[in-house]
Amino acid sequence: MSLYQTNKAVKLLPHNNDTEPLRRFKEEPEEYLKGFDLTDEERQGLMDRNYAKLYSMGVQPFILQTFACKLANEPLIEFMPKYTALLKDLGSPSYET
Amino acid sequence: MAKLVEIIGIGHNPLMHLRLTNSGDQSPEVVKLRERFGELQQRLTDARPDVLLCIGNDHLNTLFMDNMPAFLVGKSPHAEGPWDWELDLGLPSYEAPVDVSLAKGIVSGGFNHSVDFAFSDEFKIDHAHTIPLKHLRPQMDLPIVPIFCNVMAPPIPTARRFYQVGEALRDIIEELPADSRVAAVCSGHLSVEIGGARSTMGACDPEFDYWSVDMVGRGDVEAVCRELTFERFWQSGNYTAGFLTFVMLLGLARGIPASLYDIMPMGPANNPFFVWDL
Repeated sequence: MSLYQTNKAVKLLPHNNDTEPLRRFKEEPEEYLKGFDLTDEERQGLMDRNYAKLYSMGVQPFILQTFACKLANEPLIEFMPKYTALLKDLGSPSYET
Repeated sequence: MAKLVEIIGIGHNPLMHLRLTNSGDQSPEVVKLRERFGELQQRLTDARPDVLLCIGNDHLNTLFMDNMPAFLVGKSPHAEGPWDWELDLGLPSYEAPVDVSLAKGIVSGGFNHSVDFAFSDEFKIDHAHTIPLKHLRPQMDLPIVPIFCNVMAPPIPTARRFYQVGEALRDIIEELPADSRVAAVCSGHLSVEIGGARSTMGACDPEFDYWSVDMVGRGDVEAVCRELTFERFWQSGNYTAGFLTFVMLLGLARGIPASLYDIMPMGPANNPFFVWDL
């Protein structure tokens, strides 16, 4: 599993002052994701915005939550309880790359 | 010779900053916390520092897993932050000149003390640095040297290593020829889960919080190094290893008990405080 590459794809969106990656992910996600060496499962998880799956795979929770929040375009404080509910049965998977 | 004159450690929970700076929030716990920060600002002023060594972490902003240092010294001439996404959350901005001479002295001195610090000439500080700086030295009138510690991307250094690097920093500072008065300001975390199944807006494990603060505050170095393993942090939240910066402070203090250590709860978060008057 190319966990580092998945983290990189996720990190570039919310943690960069450049808004271009976010625009590209929203408008042409397949093209955006071609820039990363991902497995089919990782690519599909990102395409589907399947946060529970990405969390279970070990993507850094800190940046995954910010990524999800940015895509939802909601204030973090309102978004967080809904996001946490998605993960409630998933425990604490290791995020070591 | 340079001299370490004061050590102060606080939390960087964003909610603490947001409540402290909401002037409409006059609840007793917030008023008490504002008083505490007023006292700490005065203590720092009374120590008459020339420069602030600012110890914190990076939240995967400047530093990422492509090239993750355990300990890094910021040595560009100017430091500012935080990042736009943090400003959007209402987190504080700060900017200050960097004492490049001290920063270089720390990197060079590390080689004589078994610490190979990484350094950076291009970085931003994030809220782990801007929160303690803003609340402890709001005047923004002193140069800083930021130290970045990896507490978020495992494998992370052990508690013993954080302690040793703190001890080394003290030795390095005291061996520098410059006649500077250096104060250390630091932020870290108590139990916390972020973006995980156990996330709450506040304390994840209050029992851990009081236990760990007491152990560091009493200067029980052996217990700190033995008990505060990554696995123990993990039990109390997925990013609880952010506590390790306080272990570095204990090393800077050469293991003596803190002059002040406690937790001030301010719903929903617990806020830690450590002070060593030297």
